[in-house]
Amino acid sequence: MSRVRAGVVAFRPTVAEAVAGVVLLLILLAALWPSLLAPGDPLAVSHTDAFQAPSPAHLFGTDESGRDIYTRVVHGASESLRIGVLATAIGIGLATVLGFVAGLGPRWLDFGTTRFVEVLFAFPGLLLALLFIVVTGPGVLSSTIAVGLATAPGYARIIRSQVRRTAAAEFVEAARVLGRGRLWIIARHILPNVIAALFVLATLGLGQAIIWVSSLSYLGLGAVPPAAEWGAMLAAGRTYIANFWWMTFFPGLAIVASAAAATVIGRGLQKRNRSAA
Amino acid sequence: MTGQVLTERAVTAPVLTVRDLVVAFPDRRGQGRRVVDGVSFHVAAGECVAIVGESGSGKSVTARSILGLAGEGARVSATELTVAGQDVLSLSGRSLRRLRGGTVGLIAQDALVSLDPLRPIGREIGDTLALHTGLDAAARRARTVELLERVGLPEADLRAGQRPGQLSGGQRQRALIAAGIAGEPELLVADEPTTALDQPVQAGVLRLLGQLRDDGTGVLLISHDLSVVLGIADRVLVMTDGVVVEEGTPSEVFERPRHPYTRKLVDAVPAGRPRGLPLSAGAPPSAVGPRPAAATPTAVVERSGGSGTAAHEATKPTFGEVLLEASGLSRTFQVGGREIVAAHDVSFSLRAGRTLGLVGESGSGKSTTARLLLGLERPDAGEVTLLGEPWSPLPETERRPRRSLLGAVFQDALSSFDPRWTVGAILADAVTRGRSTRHGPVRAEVSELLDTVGLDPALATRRPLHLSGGQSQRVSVARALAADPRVLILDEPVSALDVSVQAQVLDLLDRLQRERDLAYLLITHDLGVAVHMSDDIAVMQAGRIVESGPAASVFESPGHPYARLLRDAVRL
Repeated sequence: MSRVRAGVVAFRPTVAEAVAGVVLLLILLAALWPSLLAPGDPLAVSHTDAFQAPSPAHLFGTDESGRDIYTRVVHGASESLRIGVLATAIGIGLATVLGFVAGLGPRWLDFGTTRFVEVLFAFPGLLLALLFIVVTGPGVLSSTIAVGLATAPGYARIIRSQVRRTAAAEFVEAARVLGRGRLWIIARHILPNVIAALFVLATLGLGQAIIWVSSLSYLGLGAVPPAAEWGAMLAAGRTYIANFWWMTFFPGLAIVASAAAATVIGRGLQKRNRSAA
Repeated sequence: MTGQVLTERAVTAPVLTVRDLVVAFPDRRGQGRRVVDGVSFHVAAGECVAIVGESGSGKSVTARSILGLAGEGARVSATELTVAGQDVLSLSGRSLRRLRGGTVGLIAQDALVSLDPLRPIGREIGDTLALHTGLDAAARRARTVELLERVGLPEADLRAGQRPGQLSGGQRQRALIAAGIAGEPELLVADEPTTALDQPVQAGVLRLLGQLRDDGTGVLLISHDLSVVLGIADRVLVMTDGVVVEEGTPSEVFERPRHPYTRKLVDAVPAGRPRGLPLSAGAPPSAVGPRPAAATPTAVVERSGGSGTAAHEATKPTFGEVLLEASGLSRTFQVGGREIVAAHDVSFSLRAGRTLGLVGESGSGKSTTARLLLGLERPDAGEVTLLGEPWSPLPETERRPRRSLLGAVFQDALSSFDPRWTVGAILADAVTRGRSTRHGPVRAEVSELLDTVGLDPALATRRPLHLSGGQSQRVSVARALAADPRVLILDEPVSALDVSVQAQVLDLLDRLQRERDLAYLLITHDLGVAVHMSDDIAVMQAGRIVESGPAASVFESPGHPYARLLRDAVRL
């Protein structure tokens, strides 16, 4: 009885989670349907309007070419989010394969995979991403793949331990006693239990990926101006930061807000997932 | 205990007086939920008072309130709550700390978690001495060794330097008691001091508490197990739902329980109750009545000759027929370079409609034996046959089709279920042997299964986490039955349950065995349960079966010293 009630309570969001949820919804809306929030053209140049401070006409002000920053931030959401989601998907997809191979495979395979992951893990993630870009050349696609690759080792370690823990659980043993085969147990017990944790990881990872992709764009290795990508906008505004703060502030705010929102939601999911399991 | 001693005790001023103790925890609506509601009692010097109740009865909260440890947010009030003349409710934090460990010693349930794993036990005791006595370091060391000797730890000076992990469960509990009495308390609060211990060890610890009482310490003993407090308590209080429903001497409470709840508790104690007698009130009448004769050879003949058609014969096992046979099972584990013999030359057979009770202390190899039978572990030597055909030597893929013959019920039912599955999904999966569909005729079968184990079919939509301990163990039994097995391996099926729930589950198992002529291997550390449920009993120690025979006689003339020890433990 009390357990049931505890379960209900656990799903009531905190204030921070509610705010984060709203932010994420706004970003999602901006990504899927940008013209609804900002009907203008993010690339429309108007030299007479250059460097305008935030005002009712231009909520977030304008940049050096007179482009409306609010419109660009809204339209940038789809770019940033797409890259973030894709990068996370690549990272977690790769990590799932590695994690399951290591977690369920024979001992030598586990040993090999784990050592490989550990070597990768020894590099700082961003360095790994930069290394990849050096080889493939800059660009949106390669920076996305780079971030995905760079985040995979961390995920792989978590997934491996999750797989091993689930595989050793008593209910897996109970399934063996009931005569279930190995593949059946993986498909029906281990995978679903690990995926729940993966979902949490993905949400947390999304925030991180957005920051990394923006960082790469900022360094000029991902999306390049005049593309409405947050990192690229940040880079474009940095020369004017002393006089026209809004050019860096609002794209920066968008990055921070989306990353923070994803993290808060991810932590919330993590907490609940743990108390449920 | 003579009457004179009792009156003498009554004269001495009580070390603990509790009058109208109320403990409330604020719930979500802001109203207090009373977990202890108007409890009154007193403990005199040299007296042992026991509070008995099931989980949630408020017994532990009562004990903890005495030390000012009722818990966060607890609102404690009482007309009187005095320990050795001090009013606990008005004490400040510092005086409370002086009270704990000084005037009142606390012995917690699980010594493994109560003791810091990184600190030698001698240090733990020395700390208490440093806090509550004026002894210098050398005197503290001497006193520590003295205390450890007093609680019956052999080689005390050596033990003092060991960490909790290096000691056995019983030794740890003794060390904890030593720490509890280090401050020479006038009152010792022992909260389930023996629950985590094997029976022979349990007896020793209780004897030690009895000695402390005889030396003049007041003892407040908290336990869920009536039989534990019988031998030691001077007075017993029975608690349920925060209220004391019965109070009296152990013999009064045990032999002439007045309150229905006490009667239920007393009836639920399996020790010394013959097989087939239901332990819980309101058990279906089908469970009552004599068993089909204690398998004398003639009974076997009668039954097999008397049962119905040939088709029926093929599906129904013959009563007494050997269904599973273990011969010469051995298994050794390598742990950190050491060899641990978990099973050595273990042989027995399980017969239709009969129960073999496998008893022994933890680590004696009972569970390994179960795992060998279930094919979760491969024996180094020996063989298991199932219905006369080889079982253990086969590769898993060949065993799989016949797995349905062999069911298992585990101690911790909850963790034997996938937390993501509903009860319905768990049972549907078991019924369809993995080819589960979410709808269709399976649902009817699931309802029927739940009904068989005495659960409301509406529970099918719940997740295991939202079931009570008894409910999840019933679901676990239902799952084991789903594939229509002939043999059930029951590994400590009731040891995690409250006595009255335990009684219901035991009754259920007994009924199912009658109805389906199942063969049971009942693994338990609780001799009362074993004697009540089993036709035959095998005693395991250090991986070997040291004693075996019919349940009625195995303890009557125990040949092995360990069996004798067990018998004495039951009698306590």
